[in-house]
Amino acid sequence: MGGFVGLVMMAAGSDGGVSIFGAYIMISTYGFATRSTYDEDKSGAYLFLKSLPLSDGAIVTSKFVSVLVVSVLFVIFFNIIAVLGGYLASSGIISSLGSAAAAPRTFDVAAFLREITLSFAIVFSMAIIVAGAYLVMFFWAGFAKANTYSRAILLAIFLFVTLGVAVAGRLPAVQSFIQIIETSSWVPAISIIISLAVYWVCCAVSISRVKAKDWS
Amino acid sequence: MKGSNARSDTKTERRNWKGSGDYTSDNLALALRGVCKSYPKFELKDVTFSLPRGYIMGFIGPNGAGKTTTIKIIMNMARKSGGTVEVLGLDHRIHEEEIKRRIGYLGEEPCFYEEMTPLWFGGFVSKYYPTWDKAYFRATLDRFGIDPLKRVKDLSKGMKVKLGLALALSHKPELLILDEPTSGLDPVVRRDVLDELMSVIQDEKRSVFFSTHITQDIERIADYVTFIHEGRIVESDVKDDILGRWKSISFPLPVRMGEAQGSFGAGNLEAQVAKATAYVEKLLDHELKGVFMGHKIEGLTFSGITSVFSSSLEDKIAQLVGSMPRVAPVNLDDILVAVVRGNDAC
Repeated sequence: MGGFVGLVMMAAGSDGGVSIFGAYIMISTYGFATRSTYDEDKSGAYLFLKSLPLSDGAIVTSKFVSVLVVSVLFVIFFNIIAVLGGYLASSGIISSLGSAAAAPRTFDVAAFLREITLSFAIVFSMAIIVAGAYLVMFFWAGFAKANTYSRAILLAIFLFVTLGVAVAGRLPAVQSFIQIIETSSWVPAISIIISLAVYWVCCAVSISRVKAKDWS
Repeated sequence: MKGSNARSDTKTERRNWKGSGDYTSDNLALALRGVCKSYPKFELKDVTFSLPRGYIMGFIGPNGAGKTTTIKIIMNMARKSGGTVEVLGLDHRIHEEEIKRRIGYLGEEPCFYEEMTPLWFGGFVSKYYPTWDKAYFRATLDRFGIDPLKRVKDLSKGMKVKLGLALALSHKPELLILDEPTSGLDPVVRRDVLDELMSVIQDEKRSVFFSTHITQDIERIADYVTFIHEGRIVESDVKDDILGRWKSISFPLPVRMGEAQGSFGAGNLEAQVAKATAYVEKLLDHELKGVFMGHKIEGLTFSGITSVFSSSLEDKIAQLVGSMPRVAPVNLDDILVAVVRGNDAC
């Protein structure tokens, strides 16, 4: 659904398509993490896993790895859709959807991917940090509390970003900082490396918590 | 073959073994020593018992006695605050993974991924057990009448228990730990589950530890019985020994003996009964102190349940009350009620 909406927006020449994809990567990753933990919480399947010859570390790590893999798959999926949307927009195949239909032009996939890399990298980083924080809360306090707290945190992030852009986005210092980020080729890599580090710290914290947890 | 009504030679061997104090960690399937755990409103205190390899132990107690907590401690799902737990001769925390590879476990409420099928579970679980027997798993599903392609959420509670049992048995565990496996099941499914357990223990090397509050199940299949009440072990021994020591004893109040001896003095029958009652109560406080778990005096008869019956006790009572007491066997149900209720049990 997210892919379709973003695809139509991009094909129609709107810049909002990539933003839609970003939002869906965030929501889908968080949604997968909550859904899978909800199922485990509801069925008590964690105790089933505990009865198998598996260490707490293996059980918790597998959960973190599964969320990470799904997040990467979402990024790949939405990248493909974005490329498709970019191609459709540049080819003018469905130009009637756009408000300002342009003449068909050559579509450079590599250049297009470079253009969207920063957005996807930052969104991916945010998505796995939020998912990692959620999983720590889940292993710490259970599904119900984790769900409530994480939603509050997501709302706070949303308000912070929205208000931050509105208030600080016009400041010259902030604008020049954003410009540096947009033009620096290392930012996506740094963003992903830092987020992965945070994610694995979340995993380590969860493992230590689970090892000390009483499931009675 | 073992289980209830085990071979007499096996029983003799068991008694001798017990008597010689020959148990070591190597020949014990399960050994708990001084296990403690505290909750705000409940305490598991000094839980100590052991199960030799190749036998079935029933773990009996009323609801809330601490059965599930004890089992979760054994499975390392709950943290003990003191004591030691050895499973198959290994510390349950240090060797958790190895132990779990060698045991089968079925919890009180079988927990599965609801959207998955029994067949998927078989494939998933098999990866963790080198000894997994796929053919046995499929055969057990067939025997239990479980559709391997039906989603777990569409299975009844009885079917889920059977699936849990099939999963717990298919890697040929040395020790099977079951937490109230027959609770809430209809008699037909209960019988299926118990029959499966009986067939499992045909293999002399296998041990079963299962908790229940349905004492008939224990009577049918257990070699050993451990009673737990309010977080404390009340009894833990060979089932037949327990049934040999626990007896119901009754005798008429020694009214005539008092008359003959003149110890109650003269008076009407009512006064003599009152005096005989007081005499028996005095015996319970002195010569027979601690002998009866519960007792009652009704009309002209005393009846009580003892956990320390022997022929010398019988003779002693006969001597004290002037007539041979009537001794009757009790079942595990009577013992459980006596343990829980004391005097109200009689």
